[in-house]
Amino acid sequence: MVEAREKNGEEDTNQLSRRKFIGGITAASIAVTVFGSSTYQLWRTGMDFWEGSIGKLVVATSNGYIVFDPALCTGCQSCEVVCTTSNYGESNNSLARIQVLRDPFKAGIENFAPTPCLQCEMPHCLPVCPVAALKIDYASGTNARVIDEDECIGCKKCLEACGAKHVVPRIRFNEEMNTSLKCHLCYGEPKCVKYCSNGSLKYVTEKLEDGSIHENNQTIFLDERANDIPRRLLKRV
Amino acid sequence: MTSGKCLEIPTEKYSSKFIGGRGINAKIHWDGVKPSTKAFDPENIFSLMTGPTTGTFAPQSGKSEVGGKAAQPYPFESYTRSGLGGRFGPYLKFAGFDGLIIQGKSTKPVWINIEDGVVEIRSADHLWGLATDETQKTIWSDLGSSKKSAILAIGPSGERLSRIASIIHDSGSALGQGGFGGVWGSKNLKAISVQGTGSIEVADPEKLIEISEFMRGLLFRAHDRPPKISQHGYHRINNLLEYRDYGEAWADKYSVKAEACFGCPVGCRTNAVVPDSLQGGQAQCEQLLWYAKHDIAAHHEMTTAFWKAAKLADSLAVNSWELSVMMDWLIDLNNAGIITSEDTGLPFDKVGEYEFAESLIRKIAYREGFGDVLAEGLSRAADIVGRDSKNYLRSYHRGFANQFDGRLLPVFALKLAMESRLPNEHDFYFLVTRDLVEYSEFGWLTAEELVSIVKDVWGEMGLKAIDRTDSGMYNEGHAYVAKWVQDYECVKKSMILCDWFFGNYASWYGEKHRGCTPNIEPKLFKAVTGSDIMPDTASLLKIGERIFNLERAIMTREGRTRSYDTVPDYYYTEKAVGKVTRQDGHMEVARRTLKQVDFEELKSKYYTYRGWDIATGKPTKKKLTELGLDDVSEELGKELSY
Repeated sequence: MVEAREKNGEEDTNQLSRRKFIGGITAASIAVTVFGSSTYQLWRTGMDFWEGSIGKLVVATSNGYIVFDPALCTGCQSCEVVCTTSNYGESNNSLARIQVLRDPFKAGIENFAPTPCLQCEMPHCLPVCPVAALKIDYASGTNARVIDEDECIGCKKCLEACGAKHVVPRIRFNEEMNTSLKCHLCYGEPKCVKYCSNGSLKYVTEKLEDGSIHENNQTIFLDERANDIPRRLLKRV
Repeated sequence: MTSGKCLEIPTEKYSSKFIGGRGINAKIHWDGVKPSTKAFDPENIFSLMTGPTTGTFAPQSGKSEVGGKAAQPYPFESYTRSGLGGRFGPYLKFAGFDGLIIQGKSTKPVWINIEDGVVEIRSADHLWGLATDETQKTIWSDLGSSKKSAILAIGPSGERLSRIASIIHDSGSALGQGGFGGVWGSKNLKAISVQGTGSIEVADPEKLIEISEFMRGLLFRAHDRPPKISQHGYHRINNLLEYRDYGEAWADKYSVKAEACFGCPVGCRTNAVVPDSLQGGQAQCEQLLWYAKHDIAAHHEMTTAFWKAAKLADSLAVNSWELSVMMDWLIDLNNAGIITSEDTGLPFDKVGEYEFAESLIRKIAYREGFGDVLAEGLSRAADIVGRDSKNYLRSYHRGFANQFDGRLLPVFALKLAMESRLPNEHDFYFLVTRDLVEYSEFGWLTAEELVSIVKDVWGEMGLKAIDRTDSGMYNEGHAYVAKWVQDYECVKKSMILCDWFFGNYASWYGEKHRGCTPNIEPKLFKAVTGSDIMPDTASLLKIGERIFNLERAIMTREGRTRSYDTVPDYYYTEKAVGKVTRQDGHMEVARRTLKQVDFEELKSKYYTYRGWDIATGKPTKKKLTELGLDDVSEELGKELSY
């Protein structure tokens, strides 16, 4: 599938000027309009859309995203449990909007790896939704990429698009409700981050100089606590 | 398959009286197994139960409990329990079930696959003979999903009905004590895999999050401790700093991160990457360290030897507590000329090297040569070896390795005497030893704070119970607190909370270092279940007392009496030396044996508090009826005195 486009200076400028020109809400409605009129085209091209039509479509940058440090993840799954408990009042790891991948016998720090939604600068899920259930959450101020579960028709295009790009889809599917679900950053105070047992998860609000966040924003987050872990055991992205 | 089995007032058969976990296991055994049934008989029941908090956002919600007639107790097989961490309990609940009851015997080796309410018994022909890690990897491959199910598996030791075979889950969670691996082997059961997409409901999710946040805040947090501690977390202090510079150097080289059970904010397991070890994985406490001192003695540092030994024991599923005492015993016997390298095939000149440990573990696991004797557990092995070898056993009683010393800790002496196995329960012991500033450099609790805490929890009896001086060691406070802690433990292991931090009497983060036990547990229970059966400490202790009495009734039915409630003989003849607390909370050095007459008197005080017959140690009809165990009382019948 299409690889992430590398940003270069020129395209960034185009992005930036357009973003300045168009206000937040307006951008959303423009985005929706574009989807509505070229839905079929989107189904066919998926992420190719970005390649061909950039400059016509703008999606507001998320104001925050979650990163993790595998060196600190103990595999406790508290993030998964608190996610479903606060969203549904039940504990159910199949419906957790952050998943901890695990390989109990794997040697090294990647035996457990939380996989949060990256709140992509250019979300792969959003343009492929045929009914525009995938939206930007302006109301809470996060600009998180969210699914309106009332409108979702359960086609799983978003889930597949995410998986195609990020290997493990950050979107889950609720068999009972026949809808997809994803991280909404708890409207600005992500609970998984708050209750992460060992400080592996962090909520980052810093942006790049141009106001965007990098496509590959899962940089390994090191703080002074991790400094003494032997360097050879850490992998920097 | 909802959590807690009750969102309203419980009507379910067991939970209103026995909660979950340890309590329900006891009831199932009482109802379903005759006292004459042996551990390896098909009629024996292996019962695994979760508790209402398992799999929820309650802290440390990964635990489950097992009960059954065990192969390890000596001289009589007895009902006992074992605890399991990791993620098996929660995943069983996601699969749609609160517990498993296994009875009977398969004609051929099988494994059980449980997924979303569907239970399949599958052929284990291709698994039989595999180590526990190989078994799990093969099952994951068989199931074909990238999501790794939670699996319990036996190794060659259990297949060969070793009395000290454990059952392993993931890379090192274990059902360690009791020889339940052998029980599975006797049933031709190789493994159980559980997973599912189900939900675990809770009565009041918001309240649960609030209470859990409070409780988690009192447990260990890496974030705001001095850097040395926060870098590697609790696991480093707990597992490696015991060996000071040796441990620190080893941790720097090999320790990769902390690992935790499901829902636990602490992470007490050390995950290490060791070259030419079997695999990546974790180990902690005795499981990690049973070979460490020998490694240090041989090399003047901690090498990869002790780690590889630990992981081999997990891989082949041999009880590491047993191995720990076994090392000392074998070395002493060898030094005394009772056994030799030639007799046993064990290279005694290589003690401390991986070679010795490997030889030992493989022999036991495969019942080869002398390993066939050791696989019976140390007490039975000593009977077979003969030649006075039994008298070399130390830190060992009635078939189980001992963790503490009853000569210095009277509460432990009583519990060791009364219970079905090593009462491997840390809470009270940590309070009066490890947490104390006067005990070790890692202590943080002052004498004044200790006094304040025990008064808060146990009143005047608490002050008596911390008086472990020569003059105070037999006072009734020890009996009172022993009963209290036992009753609490029964509820704790039914909910289920983890022994490492509960009972949380003291906490580094608490005001004046006060923790949250026993005030928080009823609140947690209510938030999870919505049930009103346990509104306060008194009701919590009553339920615990019921469970403890049911376990005692099981053993009474098996033939247990006061004469079986013993401590090791050497307690009466050999002196122990160590620090003990005084009533003012400060410590002094004691050097003493137990005096049998005085200890028997203390036992009598304990039976009185228990409401048991002092002469026989049996629960009375009056007590059982008071606890709502009329049917139990009836079955024990005329034997009970009033």
